[in-house]
Amino acid sequence: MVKVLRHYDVELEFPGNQTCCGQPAFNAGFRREARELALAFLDVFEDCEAVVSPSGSCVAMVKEYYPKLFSDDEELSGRFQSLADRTWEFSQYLTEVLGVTEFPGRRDGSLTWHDCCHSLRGLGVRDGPRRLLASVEGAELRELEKSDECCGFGGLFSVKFDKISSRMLSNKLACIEKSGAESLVATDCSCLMHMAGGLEKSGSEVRALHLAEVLADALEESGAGSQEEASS
Amino acid sequence: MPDDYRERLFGFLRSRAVGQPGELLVEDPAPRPSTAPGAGDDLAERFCSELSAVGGEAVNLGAVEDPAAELGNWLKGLGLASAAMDSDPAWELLALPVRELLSSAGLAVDSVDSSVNPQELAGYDLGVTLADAAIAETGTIAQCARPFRPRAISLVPRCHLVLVPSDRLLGGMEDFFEGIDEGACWATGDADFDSYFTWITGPSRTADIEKTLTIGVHGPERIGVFLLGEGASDG
Amino acid sequence: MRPRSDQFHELSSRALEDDSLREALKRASSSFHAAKTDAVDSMPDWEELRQRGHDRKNRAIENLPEALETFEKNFRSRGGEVHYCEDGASARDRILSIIRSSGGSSVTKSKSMVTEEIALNDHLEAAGLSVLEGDLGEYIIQLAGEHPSHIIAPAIHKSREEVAQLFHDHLGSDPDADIPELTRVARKTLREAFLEADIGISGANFVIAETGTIVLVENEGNIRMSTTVPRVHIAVVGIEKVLPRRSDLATLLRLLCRSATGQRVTSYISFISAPRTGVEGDGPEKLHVVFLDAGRSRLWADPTQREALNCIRCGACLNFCPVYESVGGHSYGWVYPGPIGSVITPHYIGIEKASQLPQASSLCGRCGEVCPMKIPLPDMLLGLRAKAVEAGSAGFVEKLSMRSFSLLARSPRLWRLLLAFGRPFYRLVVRAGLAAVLGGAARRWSRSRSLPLPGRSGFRRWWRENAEKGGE
Repeated sequence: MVKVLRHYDVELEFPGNQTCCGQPAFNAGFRREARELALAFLDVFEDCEAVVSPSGSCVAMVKEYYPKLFSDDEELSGRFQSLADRTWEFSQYLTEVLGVTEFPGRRDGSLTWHDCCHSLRGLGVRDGPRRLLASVEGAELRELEKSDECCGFGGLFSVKFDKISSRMLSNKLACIEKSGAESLVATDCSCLMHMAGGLEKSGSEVRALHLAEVLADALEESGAGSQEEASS
Repeated sequence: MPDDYRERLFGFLRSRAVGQPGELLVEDPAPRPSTAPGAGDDLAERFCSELSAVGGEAVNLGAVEDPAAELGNWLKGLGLASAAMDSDPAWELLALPVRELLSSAGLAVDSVDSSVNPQELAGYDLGVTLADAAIAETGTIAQCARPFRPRAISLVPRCHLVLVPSDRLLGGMEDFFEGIDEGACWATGDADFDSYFTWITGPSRTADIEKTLTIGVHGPERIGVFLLGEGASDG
Repeated sequence: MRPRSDQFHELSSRALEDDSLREALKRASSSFHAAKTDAVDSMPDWEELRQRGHDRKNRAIENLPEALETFEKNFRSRGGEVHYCEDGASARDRILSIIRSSGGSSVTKSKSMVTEEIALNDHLEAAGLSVLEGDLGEYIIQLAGEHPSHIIAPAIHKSREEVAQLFHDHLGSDPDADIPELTRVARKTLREAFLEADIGISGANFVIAETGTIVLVENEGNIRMSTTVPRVHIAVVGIEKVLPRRSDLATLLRLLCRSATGQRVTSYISFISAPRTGVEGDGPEKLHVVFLDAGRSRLWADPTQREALNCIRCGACLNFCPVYESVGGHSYGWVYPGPIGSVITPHYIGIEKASQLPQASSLCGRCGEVCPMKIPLPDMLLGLRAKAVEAGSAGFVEKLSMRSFSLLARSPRLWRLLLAFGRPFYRLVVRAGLAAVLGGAARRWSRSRSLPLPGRSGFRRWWRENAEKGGE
């Protein structure tokens, strides 16, 4: 993601004090903890001009739920709303803020796109990444059947209701296989981790890649190797 | 019958009142959806295409040279033996000789009214009525409770024949409800039009087994709606 | 119907292993999806329609006492009778008492989820009445002794073979009958009952305050049979079913029919405002509405959950829910399955008896997207999860983990330390195949997925070494 943004001369900072947006606590109903982490997030990022993240669900948390969590405090919810307006999911930053329509470079190989739930329904991310991927020279974008159907991750749902999660995953894997693509691409690391785990366990050769990895590869113009998988 | 819960329920609901007094029934007109036909549209054409799309048979007799022959042929094609016709006084005002056409098609015709036993209606192959109103938006005909028309005449026999006088063909659902409110000619009569009415759109159907569509469950398996041309009735 | 919602885990596990159910749900899902998508595509003003439906229904719900009172006044002025029942037990008794005073003993019933809620059939049968379900899907499950698994298509979980066997066992028909033949058999059997019934019992899709009207929506014709032939018609109606004005039906019928079955309008819609009037020779002599509360007023009193009462029972949320598609309706253990079931069941039977339901969702958001009434179902599931925590029902371990997590995530230095040590440890464990060491969650993850293996060093180090200074 850094490589791609730097290509567009975006000045980047990585505030070292960041930890977690608090979504796992919020989703589990622990609103006190969620509020605590929201305030910590505000503290870290409030003074930034813009915030970009490779995780659609975290961005949805910030944009959709942070202001609501503090709806009883006008001042705070105003500050959260202002931060929300400046927080972007990576592909949206490229297409809506930077206005990128054609992506440079080359990356050979077939790809298929999965619509992550929070990115799609929370943030409205749908056509942007598809256009970017389709514009990469050498990249063959194949449509994924039922691309907007949940992969079954859902955070703690994946272990609390693991059997249902696995069924949803196997339905998703079947569609991925049917697309015949070499790589699966999406905007959310956590969903990708879940699908990658399923692909590997089932012995599939399909690779699960983040949109940023694919675009960075294209910039390298070699089409080979991906960025070292980074997690913080 | 004594109703002790009524008082407690209303007490509870009123103690937490949310809405504004008097706002419940305030008129709040909405723009019609673009799919609802307006005054300028060809209502007959729209009606026929909507009804055909859902498995009903619709004919615009106003666009046909010989309406009697058209209806006669349809009836002959049914190959049925008996028909129950309601006792609507408006039959007399039609130019079309419906009763004769039924007989010529080999159907034994009896007049029935709302006092007939529904079990008796099961002995007829065809029920014959005039529509109180028709809605082009969906290919729907409306039948209300009238003393001269059994409620089950459009339900029990296997087939249903309905004729629609041209002044009763409406555009959209809104027109229907407005018509009742404004006492349109088709919405009045010797009984309150709106004490009971039913909308009928196409034949009876179900997809309850494996989502496979089957026509003709508890109601008619065939419905033929014939739209009458202008001047086809003096009513 | 006795709830088993606290057995969601067991019921859903069993359902996941049922291949026949899997086929049935897959078939149903693709059929419903296609139908709804086509129907919505054919309505360019769909979003405006949803908003309008939402607003008009809100108008009624926010003015609930006035709406009920207005309905009652208008309905009674034309000869109908209105009853209010606090719970299932009093509703059952009231309905039985109405039937007894009419002198009738044979009942035909149309599909009504609210009568499932109060387990009406068993109560009436125990009192010696004969009760026959007229809707084909309900008739099938009545013969099978089961409960509906879907709001719109109660027997969707059954294959043709199962239905044919069922009809063969009970009615002596051909065990290999095809679907048209099975429908003919049902039509013939039920017709006799319809034409001789003393009492007809229905639910109501909507009740209109302005005109005192009950609105009933169907395709088969069994509702018309049950509500026009018998001497007595009893409609059992949740108190939340009110709409303000008759003209609102234009909006609500367009929304309901498209969302439920993909039709622009169903084959039959009945609008009933009065029993037989003086000049008519047919129609019921007695017309009753039995309003049921059973937890609805309490739900109404909660402003964050009140919108659940806007539900028009179309089933769209079920049809588009990947969890429902995986486990089917019976797993939810009560009358209402899927996302709407997960919201109202805890409210109606008690959150302690249905605690797993709001948890059993990946929060994908499809339900809120397809709901014709714009009910924010995902937000309501989140709200119920928060309520459960506030009520103290979260497990000790979970509470402790969340507090620790919050503390950790607010101490950046501790966080970085944990990452620095945790990373190599975790890598070691995963590469050595010792996932079990990490506990139950890791075990459950690993049944169908490989555990993720992060790189040797993380982003933070990469940033420090390569990128912080705006490097190459």
